[in-house]
Amino acid sequence: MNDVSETKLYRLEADWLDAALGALERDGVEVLAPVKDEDGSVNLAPVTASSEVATDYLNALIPLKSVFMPRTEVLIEYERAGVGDVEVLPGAAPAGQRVVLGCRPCDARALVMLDSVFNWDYEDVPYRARRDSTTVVSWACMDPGPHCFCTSVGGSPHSAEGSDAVVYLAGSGPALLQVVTAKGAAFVESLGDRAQPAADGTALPEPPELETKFDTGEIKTWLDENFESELWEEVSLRCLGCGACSFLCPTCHCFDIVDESTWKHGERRRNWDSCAFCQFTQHASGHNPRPNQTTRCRQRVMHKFKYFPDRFEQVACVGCGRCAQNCGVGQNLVSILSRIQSEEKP
Amino acid sequence: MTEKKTTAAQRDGTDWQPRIVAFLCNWCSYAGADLAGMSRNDYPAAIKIVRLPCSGRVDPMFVLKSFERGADMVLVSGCHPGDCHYSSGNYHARRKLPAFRELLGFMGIDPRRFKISWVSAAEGNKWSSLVADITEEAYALGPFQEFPKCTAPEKTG
Amino acid sequence: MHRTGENRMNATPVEESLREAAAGAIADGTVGVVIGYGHEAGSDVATPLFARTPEQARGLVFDATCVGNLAIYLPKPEVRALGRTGLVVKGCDLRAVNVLLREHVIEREDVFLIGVRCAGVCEPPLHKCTVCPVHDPSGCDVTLGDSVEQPTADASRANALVAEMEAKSIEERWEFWKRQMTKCVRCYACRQVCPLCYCKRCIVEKTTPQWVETSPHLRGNLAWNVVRAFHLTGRCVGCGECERVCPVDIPLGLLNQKMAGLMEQWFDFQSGLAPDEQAPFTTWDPNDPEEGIL
Repeated sequence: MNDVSETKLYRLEADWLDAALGALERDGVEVLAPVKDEDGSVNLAPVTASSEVATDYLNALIPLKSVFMPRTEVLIEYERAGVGDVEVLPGAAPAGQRVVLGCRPCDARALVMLDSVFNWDYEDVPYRARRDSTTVVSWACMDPGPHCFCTSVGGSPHSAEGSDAVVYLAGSGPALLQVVTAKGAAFVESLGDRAQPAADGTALPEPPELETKFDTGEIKTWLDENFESELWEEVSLRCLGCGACSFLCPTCHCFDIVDESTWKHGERRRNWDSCAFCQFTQHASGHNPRPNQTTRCRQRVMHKFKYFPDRFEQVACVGCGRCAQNCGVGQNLVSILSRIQSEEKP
Repeated sequence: MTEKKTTAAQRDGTDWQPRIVAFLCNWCSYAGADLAGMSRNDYPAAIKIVRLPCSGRVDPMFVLKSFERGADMVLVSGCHPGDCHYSSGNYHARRKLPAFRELLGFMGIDPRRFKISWVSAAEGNKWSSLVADITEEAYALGPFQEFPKCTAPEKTG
Repeated sequence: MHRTGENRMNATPVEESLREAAAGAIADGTVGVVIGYGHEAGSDVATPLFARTPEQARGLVFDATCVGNLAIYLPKPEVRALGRTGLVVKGCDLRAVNVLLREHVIEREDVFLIGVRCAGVCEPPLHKCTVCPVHDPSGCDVTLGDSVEQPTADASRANALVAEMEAKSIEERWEFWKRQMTKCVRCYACRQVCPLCYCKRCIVEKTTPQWVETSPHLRGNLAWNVVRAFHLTGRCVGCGECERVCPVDIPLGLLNQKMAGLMEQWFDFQSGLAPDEQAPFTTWDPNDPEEGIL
C-alpha cells in the first residue's frame, strides 16, 4: 500500500517544526496547526511558534473543511450608490499562501470528495482559490480513537490521499516525511537542511490496526433497493434534527446563502447548512419534500453512501467518527450501516 | 428644559454623537414627548423615537436589534404602573425588561446602555430632562461598537 | 463518566421493576411505546430506547449513564403517532414534563409517567444533580427505586457558578462570552435537545423580518444565544442538556442558571416543580420591584 519511491521520503530533524515555522513566516506564509484552546478542545488555528502546536491529539474538533469552506464567508458586499443604484463590491479576498500543518489523514482525504463537488458542474471560485493557495501537510495517525472507522470507508490511518505531504511523527524526535504532490515538495524545500532524503531502504511505519466494520459496496446495494424501508423510520425516531453531525463532518458541504443588510450596505454570506434541519428543503409555498426526520435521516445516509458514489465513484465519508462522538442522543452512523449490511446479508 | 446644548465637537473634538433608540408607548410616554415639544422644551436630538402601542409590546429583540444596528443606548418608556391603557402591559414589561437587562449585563454588555422609564402624558418636563440625562450618560459611555462590529470572518472558519 | 458496553447480563432490582412496569404497560395496551434508556456500544451515555413490544422493554436500563432528558420526545408528532407515550423520568426530567403540562403542550392523559428515584447521575455527579431539589419524582403513574434522601437546598451552592461569573468585571465577562460565542457553529443542538424548545417555527427561522442573523459570526451567535436564554427564562428547569450536547462546549447552562436564579430571587419561583404553577412572565404583581426604572 505504501509504495513510495525512496526519493520521496525525507528524514526530518527533531527541530524541523521550528525550522518550518521560521521559514514559512519569513516567506509570509500563514501556518495553521492544531492548537489546544483554554477549554481543552483542539482546533486548527494560526501559529507562529512550535510551542503552540498540539502534537498529541486525536483529531481537531472542527474539521479541516473549515479552512476551505469557512462556516461563514462573505461572497459579495453591496452598497447603495445614489437613487436606484447599487454598487457591488467583491467579497473578502481568499487568504494568501497558507500551510496546514498537522491535520489528520482522514480530514485531508475528505478534500478529495470536496474537490469533486466544488469543481463539478461549476467551479467554486472561493473554494478553488483557497485550495490553490494552501498546502496540506497531515500527520499520520498512530493511535486511532474508539469512534474511528476510516478503514471501513476505503481509508487508512496513514492515507496520503488529499495531502500534499504526510509526516510520521515519533515523539519529539526526528520524523519521517512522505512527499505526495509538488506542493508537498515545495514545503520540504522550505525546511532547508532540516529535511534530508531518507536513507536507502527506509520504510514507512505500518499503520495501526483498525477493524473494518462494514462494507460500503454491500451497503450501496441495499440502499439502491431500499429508498422505502421501515428501517428509516426506526433509526430516525431518536434523531433530534440538529446539525451537529453535518457541521462536524469533514465531507458535508451543504450551504445556505443569506443577505445581511442595512439601508445602505449589505453582505451576501455563505453559511454552513444541514440536511437535518426541518427547513432545509422547505419551499416558499410551504411544501416540504422532506417533511419529517425520517426522510431527512435517510437523505444523510443516502447522500453519503449512494448518491455521492453514483456521481463520483467514492463514498462521502472518511470514517473520522465525529458524528457518533458528538451526537447528543448516541445516534451512530456505524451502527446504522452495520445494520444495513446485516439486512443485505441476512 | 433650559440646559444649554453642547455639541459633540465641543466635547472631544470629534463629530461623534450618540444614537439613542427609544421605544415609547403611544398613550403616555409618546404623548409626554409630544407635550415636551409643544411646550418648546429643549432636549438633545440624539434620541430616535419609535412609537408602539404599549411598553408591553417591546420584545427584547427590539433592544438587541437596535444594538446590532449601531444604537449606543436603548430606552423603553411607558405609562406609570397602574396607568396602562391596556391595564397590565407595563406590568408585564416591568418583569421582562429588567430581567433582560440582567441577562445582557451577565454577558458583559453594559446594562447602563439599556434604560427603562415611566413618563406620563403630563410629564413633558420629565421627558426632556430624562433625555438630557441619558444623552449625557451616552456621551460618557462612548460609542457602542461591540455588537455592530463583531462579524469579522475568522481565519479557519 | 461511566463507560458502558453491551447490555449488562444482570439487571439491578430497579431495572427489573422498570422492565416489568414498561412491559406490562405495553402488553395491556396502556401505552403504545415506552421511551426509556438503553445501552449501545460506542456511546458513553445511555441512549434513548423506544420500546414498542414487551420484549423490547427488556433492554431498558437505569444507571449513572442515564443523563439525557427524554421529555424532549413528548411533543413530537412522529412519537405521538405511536400511541400513548410511556416515559421514564428522573426528578429533573419530570420538571420538564411539568412545564409541558402547564403550557398545555401535552395533557396529562397523553402520557404514562414511569418515575425513577434518582440521587444523581454520572460519576462524579453533575452539578445539576448536586443541587437537584427533586430526587423523588412525585405525581408519576408509577414510581420505582429505593427511596433516596433529599438534601436540604443550598442556594449558595446552586448559584456558585453564576456568582463566580458575576464576580468578574463587565469587560472580563464580555471577553469570556465573546470567546465562547465565537465558537458557536449554529448547529442548534442546544435547541433541538431542549424539551421546552418545542416551537414549530423558531424565531431564528423567521425571515420577515429576520430577527436573528443566521450567520455563525459573533454578532449572529450572540443574538441567537441571548434569545435562547431569554425565551427559556422562567421556564428552563436546569436539566443541562443544552450544555451537554453542545459540540463546541459552550457553557450554555450558565446563562440558564443565571436567569433561573433571578426568577427565584425576584419572584420566588422555581420552574417545573408542579404542573399547575404560574410562570413569572405570564403574570405580574402591582408590588413588583421598581429598581432600575427611571
